[in-house]
Amino acid sequence: MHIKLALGGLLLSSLLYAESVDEALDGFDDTTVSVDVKQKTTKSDDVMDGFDDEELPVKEEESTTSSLGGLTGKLTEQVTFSYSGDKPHDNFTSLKSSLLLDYEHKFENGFKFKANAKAYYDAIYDIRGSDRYSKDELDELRNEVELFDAYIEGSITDSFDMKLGRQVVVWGRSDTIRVTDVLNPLDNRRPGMVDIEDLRLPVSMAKFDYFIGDWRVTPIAILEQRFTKNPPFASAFYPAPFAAPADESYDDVTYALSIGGEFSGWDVNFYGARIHDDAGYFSPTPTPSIKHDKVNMFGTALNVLSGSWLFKTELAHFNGLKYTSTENESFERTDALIGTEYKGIADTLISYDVSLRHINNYDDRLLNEINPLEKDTYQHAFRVSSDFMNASLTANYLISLYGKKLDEGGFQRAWVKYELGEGINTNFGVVDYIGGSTLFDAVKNNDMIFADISYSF
Amino acid sequence: MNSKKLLIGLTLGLSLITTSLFADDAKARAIMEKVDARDDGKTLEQDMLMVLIDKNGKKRTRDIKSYGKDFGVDEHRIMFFKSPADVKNTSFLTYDYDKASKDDDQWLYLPALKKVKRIPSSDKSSSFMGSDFSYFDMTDRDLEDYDFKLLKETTVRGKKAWMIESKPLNKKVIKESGYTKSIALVRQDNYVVVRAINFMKNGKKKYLDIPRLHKEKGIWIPDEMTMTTKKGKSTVHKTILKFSGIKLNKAINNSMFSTRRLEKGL
Repeated sequence: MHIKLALGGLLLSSLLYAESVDEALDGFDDTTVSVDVKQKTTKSDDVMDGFDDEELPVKEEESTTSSLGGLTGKLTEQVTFSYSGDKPHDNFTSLKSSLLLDYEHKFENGFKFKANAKAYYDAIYDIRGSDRYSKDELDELRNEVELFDAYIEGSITDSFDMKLGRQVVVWGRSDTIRVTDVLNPLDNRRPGMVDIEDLRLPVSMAKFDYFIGDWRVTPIAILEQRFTKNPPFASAFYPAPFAAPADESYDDVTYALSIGGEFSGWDVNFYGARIHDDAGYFSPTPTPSIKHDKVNMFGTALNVLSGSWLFKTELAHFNGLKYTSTENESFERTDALIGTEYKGIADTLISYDVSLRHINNYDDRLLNEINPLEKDTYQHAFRVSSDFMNASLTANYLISLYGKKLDEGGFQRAWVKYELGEGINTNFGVVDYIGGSTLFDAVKNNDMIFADISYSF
Repeated sequence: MNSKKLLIGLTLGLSLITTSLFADDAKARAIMEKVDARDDGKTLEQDMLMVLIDKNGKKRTRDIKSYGKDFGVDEHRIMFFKSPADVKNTSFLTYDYDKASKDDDQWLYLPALKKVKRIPSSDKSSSFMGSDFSYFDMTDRDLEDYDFKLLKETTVRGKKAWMIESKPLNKKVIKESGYTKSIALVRQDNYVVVRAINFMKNGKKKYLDIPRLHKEKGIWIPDEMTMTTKKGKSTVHKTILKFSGIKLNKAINNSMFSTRRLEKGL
């Protein structure tokens, strides 16, 4: 009985199978005449129908290929709404119009010149009344014109490249936590809200790449000393009740070196730099300022590939670090990161990084910093990104938390990007700032919803 | 015989019957081996216009310059996005290894990140750059993973063709490709697959069509191909790839396929 049932089922599945083939192939018959070699009882005339039977009504649009002779750009309108903010940083907190212009010219000898600049105006300050905001905030955030990249690059020989001018040089492997990525400062004035393309501030450098087999040796001279842009006094993300002094200015040249090798399934870099410490410390003499003494940095970064998994590590050791609360005492710090990316789910990327910053010769006075420093600082970052509708819609989620037990503050951000049309993109999302430390407790009421629309040309 | 043994026996018996019914067809396999062995050139440089069309007819285009080169049994490819402006200067490098156990090396240069980023191999069923083609569609199939069956002889656009069904031999291949089976139409005069239907795990079907191809230096090269995703009779999405500026077997320096080149762009 069991066997009869099984054979009956098999016969039925074979018949269903034959029908499903014809059904699936239905639509090919426009250009096809079929000859059945095995005398199968298939509906030959229907067999090839599925191809040309349904032409989509394509909306003809002009291609957005640039015809401006190397000039491209992006026009963006962004609005943010803080739903739990403190006055005056509540309600609508930004209505920003920005224009990015990028120019690229290639010379006949293969060299390339590139420059881009961004200008923005945030109308919210004038709409809500500029008298409600501090002068520092208005000066920094109401409008700005900024030169980003401006460099010339090319190959001098088959194995020797150069790149001179304002540029971004990214060290390390992580996209979410900076351990060895020390050469460019950040625009940190609105944490969690700055476009990734504007996040790193270009610096004037002379970079040379020498290639030997699978290895690349990159000496760099840093010709311009810039430091991270922090939130201006009395703005939404400024954590203290008093204004910080200005950064000391420096006009010396600092140096860095990277040696990297790329191999099948893995790659490695070794880094060394003597640079000005980006964080700096407060010094009351000779005039009150944030000083950025030189520090030494040695580091390494490694990627290892295994199927849909990418494993990454970074390690950096700093010496010569100084802090506000410890006067002229120098400290050493070792930073380590491990992380992974996974792409084994269709159209989805998942990543997780965790870092540890360990102050080697720790002093309890470091607890007196504006943002108190523990001997060990942990940071976690988890990110997931998924494409839908043939990548016209991308959903993203990022959470970054500090603390061994994830309890020392951070933020989470969820947003969707939708491609409305050729070169027209829109983002909609929410940012939630999470308290847990002195710094994050001071900014946790800035949770906001944001939306933007941009046109690239 | 207890019930457990009966169940095992039935399962074994059924699998033997199933195997005999869908057994590999020697003629079909021989045809597919010729398809697989067909010369497609040592190097290929081409401009590729990718047109993405959604079910409402909304069109997006990607203008891409691509280079490919055989390195023995392995293949290296690099692609530079020229337009639209929001993806301009994005580039993608892949070392596609013939050995199945060796992971492909892939790197992406994103102008927004300003760095070359190594990326792990995607799930092969993932969409290739938002198109209806998957990463799996862009790689050679390992014939040992499939049973083939010659369904019939037919014609496509006036040319004689074989209709061959391929079924994955195990669930791993189905999981990797996202296809439960495929039916290909192979032209008899040149062993080119000019049409194919891929049956997806989610019930949708993807229709590959190569309406135009030409012969250059003795090698058949497509001028245009489309992949249409359908649910039932309705089109969900369609991708048209148009090729131009084709340069076959032109010398391409190995340094073209490097992260150095990826970051410098075209």
